[in-house]
Amino acid sequence: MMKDVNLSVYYNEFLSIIGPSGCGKSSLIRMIIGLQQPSGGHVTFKGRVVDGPPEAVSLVFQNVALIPWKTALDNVAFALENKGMPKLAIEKKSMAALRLVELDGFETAFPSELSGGMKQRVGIARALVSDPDLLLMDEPFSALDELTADQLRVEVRTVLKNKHLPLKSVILVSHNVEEVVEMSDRIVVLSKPPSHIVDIIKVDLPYPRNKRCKDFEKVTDRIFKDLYAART
Amino acid sequence: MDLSSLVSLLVVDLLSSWGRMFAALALSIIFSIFVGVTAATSKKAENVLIPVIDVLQTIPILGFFPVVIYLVVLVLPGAIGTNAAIILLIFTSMAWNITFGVYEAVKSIPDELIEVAKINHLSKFQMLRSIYIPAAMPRIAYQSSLSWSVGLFYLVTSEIFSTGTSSYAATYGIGVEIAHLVLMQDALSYAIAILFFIAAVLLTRWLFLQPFSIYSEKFSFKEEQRASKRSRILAFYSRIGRFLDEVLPTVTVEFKKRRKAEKKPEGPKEFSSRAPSAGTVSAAIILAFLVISVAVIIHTSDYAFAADLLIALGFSFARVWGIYIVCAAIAIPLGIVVARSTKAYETAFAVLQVVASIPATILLPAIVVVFVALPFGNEFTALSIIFLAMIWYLLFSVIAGVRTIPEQFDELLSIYKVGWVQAWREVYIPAILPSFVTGSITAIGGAWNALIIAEYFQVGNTVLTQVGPAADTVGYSGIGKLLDIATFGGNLAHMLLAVAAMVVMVMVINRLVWQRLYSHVTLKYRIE
Repeated sequence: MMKDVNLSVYYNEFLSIIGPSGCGKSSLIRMIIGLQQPSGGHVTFKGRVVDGPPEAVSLVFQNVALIPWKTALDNVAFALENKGMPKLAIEKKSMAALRLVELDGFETAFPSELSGGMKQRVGIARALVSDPDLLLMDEPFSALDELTADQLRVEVRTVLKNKHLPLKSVILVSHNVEEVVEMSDRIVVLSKPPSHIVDIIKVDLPYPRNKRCKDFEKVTDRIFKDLYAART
Repeated sequence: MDLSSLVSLLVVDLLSSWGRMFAALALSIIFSIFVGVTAATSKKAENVLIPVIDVLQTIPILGFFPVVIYLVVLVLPGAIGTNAAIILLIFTSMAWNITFGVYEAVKSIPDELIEVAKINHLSKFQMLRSIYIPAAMPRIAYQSSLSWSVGLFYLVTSEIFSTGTSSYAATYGIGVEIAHLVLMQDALSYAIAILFFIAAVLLTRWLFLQPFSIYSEKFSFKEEQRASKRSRILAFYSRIGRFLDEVLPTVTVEFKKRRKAEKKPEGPKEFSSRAPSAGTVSAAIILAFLVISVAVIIHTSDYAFAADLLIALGFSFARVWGIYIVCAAIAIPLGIVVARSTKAYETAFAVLQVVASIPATILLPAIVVVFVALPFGNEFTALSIIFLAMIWYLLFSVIAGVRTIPEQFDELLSIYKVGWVQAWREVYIPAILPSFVTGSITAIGGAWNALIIAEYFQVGNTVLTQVGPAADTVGYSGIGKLLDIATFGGNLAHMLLAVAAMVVMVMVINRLVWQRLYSHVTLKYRIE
């Protein structure tokens, strides 16, 4: 499915990967986090080869996958179950994570009582509560309606810029061109399968980014051209 | 026997019997969790376990009862052995279907949830506790309800059987008691015992099965299933639970400390393409049985018995399939009518469930009395047992099938004023076919099990000898009859041959007829 994909992600950067459907973006993410093994080549994280989920890497899913019979708080706490922390500390940390995504007040709610956007926020809180160095996001907003997605993008960007978090880098996988230009420091464009890297774009625009500004449009145009060329 | 001592005796009996049932259920659930989760999470395990359990599900286990009790008592003599054998037999009627339920439930867990657990390095134990077991709960509860009814049949039959053997008789048990009461020709006590039995079944449903089912719904992934259903018993139990939580000191087991040396989470497992499929495993078993049988026959030069065997198989086959057609002819129309009548449905269904829990074997003495005077009386008795064993499976499967038909179909039919003959022929009957085929497979399996009792009710030298005309059993031949004669004559070779013959026949028909029918029918008629 993929050929010759050589990629490096650096400290303190927000990297996005975009490509046509079926180019293997989800597989790539799972290889990075060690849930899948590449058939050729290898993945290294902080200098060590990845053969299983490393410490300090988290993933936000497209379909949040919350446990329906646990409350929002317990769903976040779920990520801390194997850390060997006392119960009280786990609760405190989970509450803090929920506060980060502005869901304090909803800690006793069950997923069925939350909207799509709120569920995804719980998913983000769950990913952040384990203090990851690297956060992976697999099309996290594509299951949401446009208004909610818009709002969440801004919020996520703010949260991730928070100096108090140990978080260094983010890799976002998406098929939404505007989204990746709005959020990323660097964009990798993949071709259709067997996929290879078509383009790597550095985006230097200041945050928050204005979609109407010329420079923004230049980047989106470039990506669209890449994707179009990649289709043929 | 006066009433008060009868009542106390019956209470002890029911407690013993229910004790065996609960023991078997607990064992089945534990087994199903370990085996089901393993099969659902490991490709290699799945390729081996699923075909094996599929085959085990098909074998008429009751045919093995004599062998089982003989072997178990060798290891655990006395009362322990007998009870263990009975529990083991009940276990075999419950374990496989609960295991399949767990397997299917765990396989349906959204992948992402498992990935979250892996990313956060949750241990196997934590995943079991937080994800697998809760996710499997709804299926476990549902299958337990089902298994309870089936288990009762095995319980009663095993208990009655054990009384027929002098060395393995169980002392207490409702089946045991029924056997004794019949022996003493105490019709009134017998009737009272049946009533107590029904009462016990109803109580179990009310106090255990239903609350269990409702509680487990909270773990469902489907939103519609959670919430709404209330149970006062469940609320009562919750209050007790909360009270105990506050009063008793909490014991925290520090599993985490012991798990400091937790090994790294495993990478993706290799798919083993050389593992056997269900077809291969069953073919292997059939072949094994055939080889063993032929070997034994040649060894003992008992060709006469071999001929008897084949004739017996023929008769049994005719009985099972003849009754099957009668059952189908009744179950299909009745089931469609019951399922469609929205008013009476809930009550009718509840009543049916209770009536279906009463094993045919417990009614055997009554049936014999009814038919004994008629010509071919014994034959009718045998056929009635088989009928009772099959009818519930078929009826319930028809009802389940009708319930899957979306309401729009009914609306369509009335808009276009479709006559009921055409409606049945073109809509209802095709729609129920998938679940009807599944139900038929189970029903026929149950019928073969019932043959053990139905075809020979001169159990040992006690019990029902008095009931039927002395020394006369089913007039003609039958595989159940051969097996029973062999058991109580202590003829191990004949026992094995009879069991082997039955197993081979059931499995061959299953593979050749039912599996093909099922694939064809689900492909064509399943309503998505």
